[in-house]
Amino acid sequence: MSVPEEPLELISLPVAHVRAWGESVVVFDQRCGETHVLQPPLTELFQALQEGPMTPTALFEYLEQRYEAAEGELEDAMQAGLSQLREHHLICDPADSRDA
Amino acid sequence: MTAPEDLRAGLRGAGVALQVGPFVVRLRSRLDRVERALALFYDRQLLPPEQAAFADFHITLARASGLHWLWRPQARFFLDGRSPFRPLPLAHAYPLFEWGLNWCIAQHAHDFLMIHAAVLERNGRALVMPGEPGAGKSTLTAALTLSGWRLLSDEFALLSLTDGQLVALPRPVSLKNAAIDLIRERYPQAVIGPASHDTSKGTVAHLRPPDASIQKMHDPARPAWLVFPRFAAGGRDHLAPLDRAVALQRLVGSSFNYSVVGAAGFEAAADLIEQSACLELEYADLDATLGLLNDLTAGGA
Repeated sequence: MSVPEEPLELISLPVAHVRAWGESVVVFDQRCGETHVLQPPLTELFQALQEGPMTPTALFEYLEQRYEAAEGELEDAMQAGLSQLREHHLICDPADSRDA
Repeated sequence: MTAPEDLRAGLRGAGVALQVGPFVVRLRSRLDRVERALALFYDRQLLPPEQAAFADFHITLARASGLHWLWRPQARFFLDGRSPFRPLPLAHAYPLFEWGLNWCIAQHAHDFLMIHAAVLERNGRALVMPGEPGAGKSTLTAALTLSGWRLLSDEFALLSLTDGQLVALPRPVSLKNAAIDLIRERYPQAVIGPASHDTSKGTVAHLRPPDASIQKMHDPARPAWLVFPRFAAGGRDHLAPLDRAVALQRLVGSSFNYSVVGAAGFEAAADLIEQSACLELEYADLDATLGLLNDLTAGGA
């Protein structure tokens, strides 16, 4: 039996705290007062997750439709981007939702 | 107009009240050089006693006590009776007032996002110029002020957190070193006070704001241009578009209280970026640069 994937979800952000300017997305995190400037390809991941929670598989498929890249490269880029979003604490930690 | 004897009596008594943009400053001093500077720069901003019941800042400039005043007289700045800085030479008493007032505003005015920037206005649209020391911001500000732009501020952009407008804080423009003679020679009508030599910023002299800037002190302005100047001797005068995300990072880096005002500060800064043409200015020749900035108001950006 396969283990169901945990969906990835952005933290809740007021609309006024996310500004998309050209290729950049600027995000203000009012929990800590930090301002993050996201650049491609991180912006693609962020904007995909802004549409709603996605499993890693669904996110990969979303990116696959937009980028012409070898599967392995795309997977590596996605994982690197997700790591950065986690470092910025912009993705909900599944442990938080389990605790709730 | 306040008579000189009234100014002196006020300064030496309960203090005189000055309307400095949105703030009321109550100042007491027995120092002649402070009195002279006040008469030169702030005569139009003195409030009659009946309008001066409340003050945001209670400042005293006094001769520093102690024996050393005999051979090295010094001035000390007090806010609410406490002295936050070391004393400076008595000859620097007036710059000390201006620097101390900067500190008071930066420490307390959290109804605004405060940015270390000059602000000027023309036709209701504001030019915001943040600048590192040495970027030539004050020289440009003085030249623009004396060329028909309205001075809102030389040092502080006060960006309202409630409506995103820039609030005026008209005070004397602080000119340093070579800029003093440059402005004096170029604009004979400029009223420039006495120079203070050997300050931490070199030689400093202040330019009196034009009447129009004081008369419209309570009129805010909408941001239209965000320009980051950089003086480059021998360089090529030009304006170049600046990426908005980079502009925001620089703007935030020039703010005194971004981390204090939190989300409201981000929203105000981001709104300013979205309402403004964001540009980098490299300048070497004042005439060429004034031409570039004046062209902005004609629809150049």
